Amino acid sequence: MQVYALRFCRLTVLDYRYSALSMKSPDASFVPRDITSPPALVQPQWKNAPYPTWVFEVAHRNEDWNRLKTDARTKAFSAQTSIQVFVGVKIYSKHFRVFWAKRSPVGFGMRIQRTSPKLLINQPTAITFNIPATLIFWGWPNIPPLPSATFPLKLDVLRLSIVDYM
Amino acid sequence: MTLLQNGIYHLARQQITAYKDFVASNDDSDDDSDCDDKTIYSDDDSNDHVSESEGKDGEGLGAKLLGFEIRDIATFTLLLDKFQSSIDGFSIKVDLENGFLRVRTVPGLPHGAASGALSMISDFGPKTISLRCVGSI
Repeated sequence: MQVYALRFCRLTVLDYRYSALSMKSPDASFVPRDITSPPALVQPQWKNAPYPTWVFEVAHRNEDWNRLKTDARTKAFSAQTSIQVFVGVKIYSKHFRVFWAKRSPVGFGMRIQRTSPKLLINQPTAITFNIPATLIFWGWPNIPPLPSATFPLKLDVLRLSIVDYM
Repeated sequence: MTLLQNGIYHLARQQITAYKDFVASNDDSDDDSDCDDKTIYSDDDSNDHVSESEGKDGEGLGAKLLGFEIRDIATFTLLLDKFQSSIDGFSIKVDLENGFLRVRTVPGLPHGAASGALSMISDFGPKTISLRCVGSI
Protein backbone atom coordinates (compact mmCIF):
# COMPACT_ATOMS: atom_id res chain seq x y z
CA MET A 1 0.00 0.00 0.00
CA GLN A 2 1.23 3.44 -0.88
CA VAL A 3 1.90 5.48 2.19
CA TYR A 4 1.63 9.08 1.28
CA ALA A 5 1.08 12.18 3.24
CA LEU A 6 -2.63 12.53 2.60
CA ARG A 7 -2.80 12.01 6.34
CA PHE A 8 -2.05 15.70 6.36
CA CYS A 9 -5.36 16.29 4.64
CA ARG A 10 -8.94 16.14 5.76
CA LEU A 11 -11.35 14.09 3.71
CA THR A 12 -14.59 15.95 3.35
CA VAL A 13 -17.73 15.98 1.26
CA LEU A 14 -18.94 19.42 2.21
CA ASP A 15 -20.80 21.06 -0.64
CA TYR A 16 -18.75 23.76 -2.27
CA ARG A 17 -20.13 27.00 -3.65
CA TYR A 18 -19.07 27.83 -7.19
CA SER A 19 -21.26 30.83 -7.96
CA ALA A 20 -23.62 33.15 -6.13
CA LEU A 21 -26.52 30.68 -6.17
CA SER A 22 -24.82 27.40 -6.99
CA MET A 23 -23.46 24.67 -4.75
CA LYS A 24 -22.08 21.26 -5.65
CA SER A 25 -21.70 18.19 -3.50
CA PRO A 26 -18.45 16.45 -4.47
CA ASP A 27 -18.15 12.69 -4.21
CA ALA A 28 -15.01 13.20 -2.15
CA SER A 29 -12.67 16.09 -1.54
CA PHE A 30 -9.55 16.86 0.43
CA VAL A 31 -8.46 19.89 2.37
CA PRO A 32 -4.84 20.21 3.53
CA ARG A 33 -4.81 20.30 7.30
CA ASP A 34 -2.79 23.51 7.58
CA ILE A 35 -4.14 25.31 4.54
CA THR A 36 -4.20 29.07 4.94
CA SER A 37 -6.37 31.80 3.54
CA PRO A 38 -5.12 33.55 1.55
CA PRO A 39 -4.35 32.03 -0.86
CA ALA A 40 -7.20 29.57 -0.30
CA LEU A 41 -10.67 30.98 -0.75
CA VAL A 42 -13.16 30.39 2.03
CA GLN A 43 -16.82 29.46 2.15
CA PRO A 44 -18.88 31.74 4.38
CA GLN A 45 -21.76 29.29 4.45
CA TRP A 46 -19.46 26.77 6.18
CA LYS A 47 -18.03 29.14 8.79
CA ASN A 48 -15.28 30.23 6.40
CA ALA A 49 -13.96 26.73 5.84
CA PRO A 50 -11.40 26.79 3.02
CA TYR A 51 -12.21 25.19 -0.30
CA PRO A 52 -10.71 21.78 -0.81
CA THR A 53 -7.67 21.46 -3.03
CA TRP A 54 -8.65 18.11 -4.48
CA VAL A 55 -12.09 17.01 -5.67
CA PHE A 56 -13.00 13.50 -6.76
CA GLU A 57 -16.08 12.76 -8.85
CA VAL A 58 -17.52 9.47 -10.13
CA ALA A 59 -19.91 9.19 -13.08
CA HIS A 60 -21.96 6.04 -13.50
CA ARG A 61 -23.30 4.14 -16.48
CA ASN A 62 -26.19 6.49 -17.18
CA GLU A 63 -24.02 9.61 -16.73
CA ASP A 64 -21.83 10.68 -19.59
CA TRP A 65 -18.15 11.45 -19.79
CA ASN A 66 -18.55 14.94 -21.21
CA ARG A 67 -20.89 15.99 -18.44
CA LEU A 68 -18.29 14.83 -15.94
CA LYS A 69 -15.73 17.06 -17.64
CA THR A 70 -18.22 19.92 -17.83
CA ASP A 71 -18.73 19.72 -14.08
CA ALA A 72 -14.98 19.88 -13.56
CA ARG A 73 -14.53 22.85 -15.86
CA THR A 74 -17.47 24.99 -14.84
CA LYS A 75 -18.03 24.03 -11.20
CA ALA A 76 -14.87 22.72 -9.53
CA PHE A 77 -12.63 25.11 -11.45
CA SER A 78 -14.94 28.10 -11.29
CA ALA A 79 -13.24 31.39 -10.46
CA GLN A 80 -15.04 31.40 -7.12
CA THR A 81 -13.35 28.23 -5.80
CA SER A 82 -9.69 27.49 -5.11
CA ILE A 83 -9.84 23.80 -6.01
CA GLN A 84 -6.57 22.77 -7.67
CA VAL A 85 -7.03 19.13 -8.70
CA PHE A 86 -9.97 17.24 -10.13
CA VAL A 87 -10.00 13.48 -10.60
CA GLY A 88 -12.93 12.17 -12.62
CA VAL A 89 -13.87 8.51 -12.92
CA LYS A 90 -16.38 7.18 -15.41
CA ILE A 91 -17.77 3.70 -14.79
CA TYR A 92 -19.16 1.64 -17.68
CA SER A 93 -20.59 -1.85 -17.48
CA LYS A 94 -17.26 -3.60 -18.10
CA HIS A 95 -14.81 -0.73 -18.20
CA PHE A 96 -13.78 2.39 -16.39
CA ARG A 97 -11.93 5.50 -17.42
CA VAL A 98 -10.17 8.22 -15.45
CA PHE A 99 -8.80 11.70 -16.02
CA TRP A 100 -7.16 14.24 -13.84
CA ALA A 101 -7.00 17.97 -14.39
CA LYS A 102 -5.65 21.05 -12.74
CA ARG A 103 -6.86 24.63 -12.64
CA SER A 104 -5.98 26.68 -15.67
CA PRO A 105 -3.31 29.33 -15.06
CA VAL A 106 -5.80 32.05 -15.98
CA GLY A 107 -7.64 31.29 -12.73
CA PHE A 108 -10.69 29.42 -13.97
CA GLY A 109 -11.35 26.50 -16.28
CA MET A 110 -9.25 23.40 -16.45
CA ARG A 111 -6.30 21.82 -18.07
CA ILE A 112 -6.61 18.08 -18.37
CA GLN A 113 -3.28 16.55 -17.54
CA ARG A 114 -3.87 12.92 -18.25
CA THR A 115 -6.71 10.73 -19.49
CA SER A 116 -6.62 6.97 -19.28
CA PRO A 117 -7.86 4.71 -22.03
CA LYS A 118 -11.07 2.80 -21.41
CA LEU A 119 -9.78 0.09 -19.08
CA LEU A 120 -11.30 -3.33 -18.52
CA ILE A 121 -12.62 -3.61 -15.01
CA ASN A 122 -11.46 -7.22 -14.63
CA GLN A 123 -7.94 -6.68 -15.95
CA PRO A 124 -5.12 -5.27 -13.83
CA THR A 125 -3.56 -2.03 -14.99
CA ALA A 126 -0.20 -0.50 -14.23
CA ILE A 127 -1.29 3.02 -15.05
CA THR A 128 -0.47 5.53 -12.33
CA PHE A 129 -1.38 9.19 -12.35
CA ASN A 130 1.28 11.23 -10.58
CA ILE A 131 -0.35 14.28 -9.08
CA PRO A 132 2.03 17.00 -7.88
CA ALA A 133 2.11 17.50 -4.14
CA THR A 134 2.36 21.22 -4.73
CA LEU A 135 -1.22 21.13 -6.04
CA ILE A 136 -2.58 18.83 -3.34
CA PHE A 137 -0.94 20.92 -0.62
CA TRP A 138 -1.55 24.21 -2.35
CA GLY A 139 -2.09 26.90 0.26
CA TRP A 140 -0.01 25.15 2.92
CA PRO A 141 2.89 27.53 3.69
CA ASN A 142 5.41 24.81 4.43
CA ILE A 143 4.58 21.58 2.69
CA PRO A 144 5.22 18.64 5.07
CA PRO A 145 7.98 16.14 4.32
CA LEU A 146 6.70 13.75 1.70
CA PRO A 147 7.96 10.45 0.32
CA SER A 148 7.86 11.86 -3.20
CA ALA A 149 7.06 15.04 -5.05
CA THR A 150 3.94 13.50 -6.57
CA PHE A 151 1.04 11.51 -5.26
CA PRO A 152 0.87 8.19 -7.13
CA LEU A 153 -2.77 7.54 -7.91
CA LYS A 154 -2.70 3.90 -8.95
CA LEU A 155 -5.68 3.14 -11.13
CA ASP A 156 -5.51 -0.52 -10.18
CA VAL A 157 -6.32 0.36 -6.58
CA LEU A 158 -9.35 2.20 -7.85
CA ARG A 159 -10.26 -0.74 -10.07
CA LEU A 160 -10.03 -3.21 -7.18
CA SER A 161 -12.25 -1.05 -5.03
CA ILE A 162 -15.11 -1.08 -7.54
CA VAL A 163 -14.78 -4.41 -9.33
CA ASP A 164 -16.89 -6.29 -6.78
CA TYR A 165 -19.78 -3.89 -7.27
CA MET A 166 -19.94 -4.00 -11.06
CA MET B 1 -41.72 20.80 1.31
CA THR B 2 -43.66 17.72 0.29
CA LEU B 3 -44.09 19.05 -3.24
CA LEU B 4 -40.37 19.69 -3.40
CA GLN B 5 -39.56 16.22 -2.11
CA ASN B 6 -41.99 14.69 -4.57
CA GLY B 7 -40.25 16.53 -7.38
CA ILE B 8 -36.87 15.25 -6.22
CA TYR B 9 -38.12 11.68 -5.93
CA HIS B 10 -39.72 11.88 -9.36
CA LEU B 11 -36.42 12.83 -10.97
CA ALA B 12 -34.60 10.26 -8.86
CA ARG B 13 -36.87 7.48 -10.03
CA GLN B 14 -36.35 8.52 -13.66
CA GLN B 15 -32.60 8.30 -13.16
CA ILE B 16 -32.86 4.94 -11.43
CA THR B 17 -34.88 3.63 -14.36
CA ALA B 18 -32.28 4.98 -16.79
CA TYR B 19 -29.49 3.34 -14.81
CA LYS B 20 -31.31 0.01 -14.68
CA ASP B 21 -31.99 0.19 -18.41
CA PHE B 22 -28.27 0.64 -19.02
CA VAL B 23 -27.48 -2.32 -16.80
CA ALA B 24 -30.12 -4.47 -18.48
CA SER B 25 -28.90 -3.60 -21.97
CA ASN B 26 -25.31 -4.31 -20.90
CA ASP B 27 -24.35 -1.46 -23.21
CA ASP B 28 -20.76 -0.49 -22.68
CA SER B 29 -20.46 2.01 -25.49
CA ASP B 30 -22.24 4.84 -23.70
CA ASP B 31 -21.53 8.31 -24.99
CA ASP B 32 -17.82 7.88 -25.14
CA SER B 33 -17.34 8.54 -28.80
CA ASP B 34 -14.02 10.27 -28.26
CA CYS B 35 -12.60 7.28 -26.44
CA ASP B 36 -9.51 5.57 -27.77
CA ASP B 37 -7.12 2.99 -26.47
CA LYS B 38 -4.27 5.31 -25.65
CA THR B 39 -3.40 7.14 -22.52
CA ILE B 40 -3.48 10.83 -23.29
CA TYR B 41 -0.91 13.14 -21.78
CA SER B 42 -1.43 16.81 -22.09
CA ASP B 43 -0.46 20.06 -20.52
CA ASP B 44 -2.75 22.16 -22.57
CA ASP B 45 -6.38 22.18 -23.58
CA SER B 46 -5.91 20.27 -26.81
CA ASN B 47 -7.52 17.08 -25.51
CA ASP B 48 -10.26 18.78 -23.57
CA HIS B 49 -13.15 18.11 -25.89
CA VAL B 50 -15.72 19.90 -23.78
CA SER B 51 -16.23 23.13 -25.63
CA GLU B 52 -16.96 26.35 -23.85
CA SER B 53 -20.55 26.24 -25.07
CA GLU B 54 -21.02 22.87 -23.41
CA GLY B 55 -20.24 24.39 -20.08
CA LYS B 56 -23.42 26.37 -19.96
CA ASP B 57 -26.14 26.01 -17.38
CA GLY B 58 -27.92 22.71 -17.20
CA GLU B 59 -25.45 20.31 -18.72
CA GLY B 60 -23.61 18.84 -15.77
CA LEU B 61 -24.26 15.56 -14.02
CA GLY B 62 -27.83 15.08 -12.85
CA ALA B 63 -31.07 16.75 -13.89
CA LYS B 64 -32.46 20.15 -13.05
CA LEU B 65 -35.70 20.33 -11.09
CA LEU B 66 -37.73 23.11 -12.68
CA GLY B 67 -40.48 24.96 -10.90
CA PHE B 68 -38.76 25.48 -7.57
CA GLU B 69 -36.36 28.35 -7.17
CA ILE B 70 -34.24 28.96 -4.09
CA ARG B 71 -33.11 32.52 -3.73
CA ASP B 72 -30.29 32.25 -1.20
CA ILE B 73 -27.59 29.83 -0.17
CA ALA B 74 -28.67 29.87 3.49
CA THR B 75 -32.05 28.40 2.62
CA PHE B 76 -30.42 25.69 0.56
CA THR B 77 -27.99 24.70 3.32
CA LEU B 78 -30.87 24.57 5.79
CA LEU B 79 -32.77 22.25 3.48
CA LEU B 80 -29.80 20.05 2.61
CA ASP B 81 -30.38 17.51 5.36
CA LYS B 82 -33.95 17.03 4.23
CA PHE B 83 -32.90 16.53 0.61
CA GLN B 84 -30.32 13.83 1.19
CA SER B 85 -31.88 10.41 1.12
CA SER B 86 -31.88 7.14 -0.70
CA ILE B 87 -34.26 4.98 -2.71
CA ASP B 88 -33.85 1.28 -3.53
CA GLY B 89 -30.13 1.31 -2.84
CA PHE B 90 -29.53 4.52 -4.77
CA SER B 91 -28.30 7.67 -3.08
CA ILE B 92 -29.90 10.96 -4.00
CA LYS B 93 -27.58 13.96 -4.23
CA VAL B 94 -29.05 17.42 -4.52
CA ASP B 95 -27.01 20.39 -5.70
CA LEU B 96 -27.98 24.00 -6.24
CA GLU B 97 -27.45 25.46 -9.70
CA ASN B 98 -28.27 29.10 -10.27
CA GLY B 99 -31.10 28.90 -7.78
CA PHE B 100 -32.55 25.63 -9.06
CA LEU B 101 -32.07 22.19 -7.61
CA ARG B 102 -30.08 19.65 -9.59
CA VAL B 103 -30.86 16.07 -8.64
CA ARG B 104 -28.40 13.27 -9.16
CA THR B 105 -29.12 9.66 -8.26
CA VAL B 106 -26.21 7.27 -7.97
CA PRO B 107 -26.03 3.54 -7.20
CA GLY B 108 -25.08 3.47 -3.53
CA LEU B 109 -22.62 0.61 -3.30
CA PRO B 110 -20.48 1.18 -6.40
CA HIS B 111 -20.55 4.90 -5.83
CA GLY B 112 -19.48 4.58 -2.22
CA ALA B 113 -16.75 2.12 -3.16
CA ALA B 114 -15.37 4.33 -5.92
CA SER B 115 -15.66 7.53 -3.93
CA GLY B 116 -13.95 5.92 -0.97
CA ALA B 117 -11.10 4.56 -3.08
CA LEU B 118 -8.82 7.46 -2.32
CA SER B 119 -8.99 6.76 1.37
CA MET B 120 -7.84 3.20 0.67
CA ILE B 121 -4.92 4.41 -1.41
CA SER B 122 -3.51 6.50 1.34
CA ASP B 123 -2.52 6.16 4.91
CA PHE B 124 -5.06 8.24 6.71
CA GLY B 125 -4.32 8.88 10.33
CA PRO B 126 -7.54 8.68 12.29
CA LYS B 127 -6.65 11.72 14.31
CA THR B 128 -5.96 13.94 11.37
CA ILE B 129 -9.04 13.58 9.22
CA SER B 130 -12.71 14.11 9.50
CA LEU B 131 -14.87 11.95 7.30
CA ARG B 132 -18.44 11.98 6.13
CA CYS B 133 -19.31 9.10 3.89
CA VAL B 134 -21.44 9.30 0.78
CA GLY B 135 -23.02 6.47 -1.08
CA SER B 136 -24.66 4.85 1.91
CA ILE B 137 -27.87 3.00 1.32
